[in-house]
Amino acid sequence: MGHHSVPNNPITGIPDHVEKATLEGKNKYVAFWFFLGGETTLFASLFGTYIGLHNSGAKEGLRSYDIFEMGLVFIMTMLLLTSSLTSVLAMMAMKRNDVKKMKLWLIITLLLGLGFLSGEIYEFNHYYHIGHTFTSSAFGSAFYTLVGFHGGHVLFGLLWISTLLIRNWNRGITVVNAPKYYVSSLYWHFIDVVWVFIFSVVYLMGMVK
Amino acid sequence: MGTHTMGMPQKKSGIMDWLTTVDHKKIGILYIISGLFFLLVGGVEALMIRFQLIKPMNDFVSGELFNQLITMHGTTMIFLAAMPMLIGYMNAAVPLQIGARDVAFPFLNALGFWLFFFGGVLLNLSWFFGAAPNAGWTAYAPLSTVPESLGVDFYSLGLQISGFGTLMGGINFLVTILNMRAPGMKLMRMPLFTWTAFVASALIVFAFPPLTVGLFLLTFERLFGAHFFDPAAGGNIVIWEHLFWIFGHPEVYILILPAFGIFSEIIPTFARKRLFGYTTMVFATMLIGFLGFMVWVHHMFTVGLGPVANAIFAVATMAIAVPTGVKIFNWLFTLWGGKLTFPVAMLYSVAFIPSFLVGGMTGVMLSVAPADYQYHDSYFVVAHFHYVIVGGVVFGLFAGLYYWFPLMFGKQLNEFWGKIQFWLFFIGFHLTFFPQHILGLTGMPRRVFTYLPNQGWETMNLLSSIGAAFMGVSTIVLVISIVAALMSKEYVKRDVWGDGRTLEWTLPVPTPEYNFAQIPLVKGLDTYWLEKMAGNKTVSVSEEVGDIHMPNNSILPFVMSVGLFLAGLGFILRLDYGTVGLVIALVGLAMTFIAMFFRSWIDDEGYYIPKSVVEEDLRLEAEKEAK
Amino acid sequence: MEKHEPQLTRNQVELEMKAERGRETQLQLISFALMIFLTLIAFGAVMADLMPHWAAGGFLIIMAIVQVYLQLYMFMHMNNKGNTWIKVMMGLGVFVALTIVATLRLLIW
Repeated sequence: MGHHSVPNNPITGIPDHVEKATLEGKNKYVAFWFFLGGETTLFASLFGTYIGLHNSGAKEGLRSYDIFEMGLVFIMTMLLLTSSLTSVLAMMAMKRNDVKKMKLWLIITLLLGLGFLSGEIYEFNHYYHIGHTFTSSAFGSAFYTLVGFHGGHVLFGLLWISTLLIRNWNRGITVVNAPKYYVSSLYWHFIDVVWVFIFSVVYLMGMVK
Repeated sequence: MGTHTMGMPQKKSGIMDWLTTVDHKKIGILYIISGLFFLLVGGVEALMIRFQLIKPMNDFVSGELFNQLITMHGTTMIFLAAMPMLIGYMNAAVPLQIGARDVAFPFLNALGFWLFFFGGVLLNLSWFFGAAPNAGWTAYAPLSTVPESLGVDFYSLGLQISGFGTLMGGINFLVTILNMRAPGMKLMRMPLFTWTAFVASALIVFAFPPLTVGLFLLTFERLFGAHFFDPAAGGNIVIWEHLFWIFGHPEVYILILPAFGIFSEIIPTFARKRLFGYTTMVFATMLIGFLGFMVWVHHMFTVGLGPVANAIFAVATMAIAVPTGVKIFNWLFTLWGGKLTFPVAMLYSVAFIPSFLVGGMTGVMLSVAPADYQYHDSYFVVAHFHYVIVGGVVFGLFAGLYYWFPLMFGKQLNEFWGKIQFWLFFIGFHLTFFPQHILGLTGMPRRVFTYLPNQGWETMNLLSSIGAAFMGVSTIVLVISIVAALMSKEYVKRDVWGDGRTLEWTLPVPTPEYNFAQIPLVKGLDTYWLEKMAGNKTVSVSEEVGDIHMPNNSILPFVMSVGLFLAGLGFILRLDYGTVGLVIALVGLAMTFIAMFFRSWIDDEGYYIPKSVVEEDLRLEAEKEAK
Repeated sequence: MEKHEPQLTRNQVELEMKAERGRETQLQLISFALMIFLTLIAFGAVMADLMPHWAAGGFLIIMAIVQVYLQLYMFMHMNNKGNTWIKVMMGLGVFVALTIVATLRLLIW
């Protein structure tokens, strides 16, 4: 029942599949996937609302194809995509019990995420100043709600992973903290999945007249 | 087992224990008690509605108050009475039925309860501000976006908070049922209540997020000036209707499936027969759950979405009648040839079958889209869904209460008064709602606070109100019965019904906090019954007696929920009281986040109940059995 | 009855594990390169105005779906053993999600 009954891999010094070596770990792992199943319908509702209200009520000059800045969105996309890769690399380091590498990759992930978020804040600020605001039209409300919900998820992910890192800074990989790292990485990938649809549906389709 | 502190559990008594408990049995009790409380609140609202409608041109309540009453009656009954009580039974029974010591996430379980509770309190607090929600339980825009009616803010934030709790409960039960089963408890050996809890939990996971989004949109619209539902700025009110019903229809199945599960436990027990067609019951449950996501537009037939959409959703709706019919027949065949006894739990189960059937039939009538244009927004619809929800869900809640009360409290509800309660409720129910079919067919619209004389509606409304009084008296009897049972010193013995089939009845009364001293070994469907038939007194076990790991109690779920409650209240008050509201909101949010931070910062490894204590418990129990 | 497997030395096992990891890393990097590639195509096609309006939506969605498949199966290892229920629940989630989006796209007047 305790954490000690799981045999270590003699080479790595931690159990194989350390993220689900205990029942607690397995529970977390499965539960988090189910949570992501729920998040899927959450974002579907937001996407549906956005698609339904796309450009609706927006004044001339404030339609999606008038305002979106492709360059910035492209850079943000690259940052987030790369952060998804670094998050995978961190998890692979975790599985071979390489704490230093894991921390390094996670910090890079955080920095990339921070870069993405800064881009988003800059972008929102820019739109605000040209008159595309949360209250300017139904389109504005739907846009900020969808993209903002995603941004909120990014922010939460940053806080979550930072807390994990700080709390476990001087600790090795254990069957207790590995599931926590692992599900936070799943979360981070899911954020990227959502962003893929945001840049495709909101930005790219929004550019097509 | 390595080195662990053999910490004895903290002394567990008093209010602090209830505020900090992570024990699924206690959380189950908290859910049931709070659910019953809200059932009474919603019941009083219902009685006031019926008293207003007892005669034409009555002026017992004003139109505004009437709107608040119908809104709060519906919202309270669905979100704060029926669903929590069902989740309460899941807590009380599911871990025991699958042979587990606890749910997968005890902390989350407690958090789920407190979020529901404080969401409900926030919603009902609106009465004290003289501004209960008044836009109907469906809160259709633009009626719900009128900023003057402060009440809808209580609706959107209260439901949001309690909805988070429900989502957590759903995920928790899914994982519990998948990962925590005792050895030998294969999926197709699980008791049907566990199966229905599983499917209902999956529905919660997919159906609540759309409600979350809908409520956020409504909140943003009301508090922050967004325009989702404001046609003047390009908004579209149909979006709210879709989001609400994408959640709302599966919600009906979230309620009815566990009720089906309860009946599927009770009927075999008191027919002393294996449930007929267990496998088809399981698949019918899944099919109902799946189809439940594909029918929501039947609530919107008259919106004008076009004949194609209406036709598709009409056919899907009719299709649901098939698996439901399969279930009805399975219950009947279980009864057929059984050695029947009729304690109150069984009375409710048997009464459920024809009552629910009527609701199902009118459901098929309503699914015919062209005909629905006639029924829509009339009392016929009110009659239909009360036949389904009361005749199905509430009968299930009462049946489950009588059936599992001994398991939860170690005491039994009085059967004599229970039968009186049943007959009052059964007669009252049909007397209240059957005439409403006729009212609907003769044209009385729903949600009107009064009506003119000489339209042929007087008699039926009078009958309906008399029926409501019957149900009111019945509920009073129930409350007295519960209080009397709780005060009595008469404890029941293990396997109180004598014919228990599933694992929860193998446990000593009261159930020890670790549930099973030794995790059982399951040999088939209805494993306890199988062992009894083989001449055994109890079920086989799968492990030696040993130390038992337990989770620590925690006050953090309570603090987090109070925090969100304050945040919600603050945001609502911000409109009228400005800074004060904002301060309350920020304090609340800070509370929640600090509690979350503590939760992730403090290592909580739980404690162990030493082997010696478990052995002592086993010895005492054996002595008690011998007497 | 145990079969007599050739005993691997600790060194050989270690080498085997390293090789396995190397293959996995390679797979991840290829997936990543594919994602970048798909993203470039999607952005490029829109920026260069290559598509008529009616084709753009479908094309972009297909690009996105391929990319999401890579994320879920390569990065998140959804295909691992013992993930049956995870796949079921994600599948149902995606199904419900598609219903919601289709409805709000088509059925709001």
